[in-house]
Amino acid sequence: MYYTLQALLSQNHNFSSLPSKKEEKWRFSPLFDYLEKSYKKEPDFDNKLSFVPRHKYWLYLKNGKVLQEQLPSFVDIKTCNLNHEVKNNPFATLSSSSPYLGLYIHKNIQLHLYFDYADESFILSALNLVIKENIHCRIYMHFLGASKSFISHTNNIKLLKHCSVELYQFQDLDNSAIIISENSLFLDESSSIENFVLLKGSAYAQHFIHATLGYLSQLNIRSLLLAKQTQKEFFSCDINHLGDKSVSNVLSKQVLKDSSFALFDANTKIERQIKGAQVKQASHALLLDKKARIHSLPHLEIYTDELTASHGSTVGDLDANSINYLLSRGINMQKVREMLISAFINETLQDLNEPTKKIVLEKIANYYEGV
Amino acid sequence: MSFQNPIEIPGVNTIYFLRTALNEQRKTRGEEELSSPEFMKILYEKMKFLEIDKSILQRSLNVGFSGGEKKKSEVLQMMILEPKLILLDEIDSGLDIDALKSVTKGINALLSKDVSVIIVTHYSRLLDYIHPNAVHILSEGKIVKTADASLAKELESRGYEDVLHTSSTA
Repeated sequence: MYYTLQALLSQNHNFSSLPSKKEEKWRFSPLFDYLEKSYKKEPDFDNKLSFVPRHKYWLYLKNGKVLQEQLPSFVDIKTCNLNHEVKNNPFATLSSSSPYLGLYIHKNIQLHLYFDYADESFILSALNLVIKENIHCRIYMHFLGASKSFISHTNNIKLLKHCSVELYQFQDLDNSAIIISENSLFLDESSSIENFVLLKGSAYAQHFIHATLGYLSQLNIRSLLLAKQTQKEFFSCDINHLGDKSVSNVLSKQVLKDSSFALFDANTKIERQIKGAQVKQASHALLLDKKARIHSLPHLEIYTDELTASHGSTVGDLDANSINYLLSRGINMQKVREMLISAFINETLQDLNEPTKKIVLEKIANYYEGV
Repeated sequence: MSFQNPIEIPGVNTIYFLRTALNEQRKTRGEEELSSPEFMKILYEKMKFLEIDKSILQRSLNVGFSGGEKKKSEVLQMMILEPKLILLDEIDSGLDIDALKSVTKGINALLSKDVSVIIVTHYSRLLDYIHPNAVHILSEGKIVKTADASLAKELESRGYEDVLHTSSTA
């Protein structure tokens, strides 16, 4: 199984993680401008943890390689370097091998994965995660560091029958980092994923989700994009309903200030033979400055009549009446804006459990400075 | 200032809003911020006085509040923030008699020689519970007549046109 999935990951790197110029043009993104920069072929590896995780079970990866771990015996872990030739992209000369991590989980667990990256490097990393039947697990992925680096990370997550995963992904990288994150999710019968994605901090971030939904499976995605200065953040998801009564729900919120840019590009496809699917897509953007821009592209591709579906998109500024009301209560303008931005964001956080909500609030706290 | 139709602000929790507003006021006055227990003690006292249900604290500000709850919430804010000048725009609109009694009880509790209250209303019903020092008639952006509380009763019996016509011909 590992061999098959690793081969698949390798393919992802070749064909998906690094999109073609044509795809980039469609996404209005200047990725190829960044690709022309020079990065270190062999990244620095200082063999030190930048902090000691305080959680019970964790795994600390440096440049995609496992540096230290604290895992129970019921998590099988496999790591290897795959030599592969990356074709059709400008990194063929840069990358000769990439670290791959495989995790096979067969008991309930709460696990924190820390992906720490060196400076000025080009790194391809990948995670292959398989969740056994009837398991519930909570996975946190923290992406750290990566000053002036280019990261391409692939997650391949497979849920077997009747299992559920809470997947929290926090990209809080350096302001000069470029990251492309490719996520392939496969949901077997009656499985479910609660996914929360935070994109913040990096100069350029692309987060792709490709999901395949089986019978009675449920996918709930909440994404929060916070950008400032000239940062660019792209959130794309491609969901394929292949099972009856499958449910997908995507809610993305973007807060953009200065001259930042964001893209919401979602496509949900429901095949002809599928019955009783439920589909929701929503994107809401808050533009705090005149130069901030958003492209919002919610798509539904429906080939059946037996389903419930909705999609929508809104773009706006902070509500002037709300500002006026709060100012009239003696609250200063900075605090008023913070309160209203926080209120806007809250919808994406309301279903999170308290410890996770606390982590998110800590990570986004510095975004409010100078809003 | 209390608005005739206080706006709804989804996502801003009422208790968080009240505490932020109070602490901002205290900072401006050069006072220390209140700790959570100190704030809660003051808040519960005022809410009990105004007969407000505690459930509104966890709800978004004014979202889904009934007309009475909105007006009581406005008076609660006044009692907590203790402003020197209060402008109440039709605080009595949309209130049933019990809610009107609670709201006016709160306003009366705020009255002192250091606090001025301007109440805008179309009806004298409110004045059964609040006794103003002066009544002004505002017409086309100007105060056209000023008198004591008896003016409100006169208006109620004779109407605006008759009272204003008499005063202009006198």
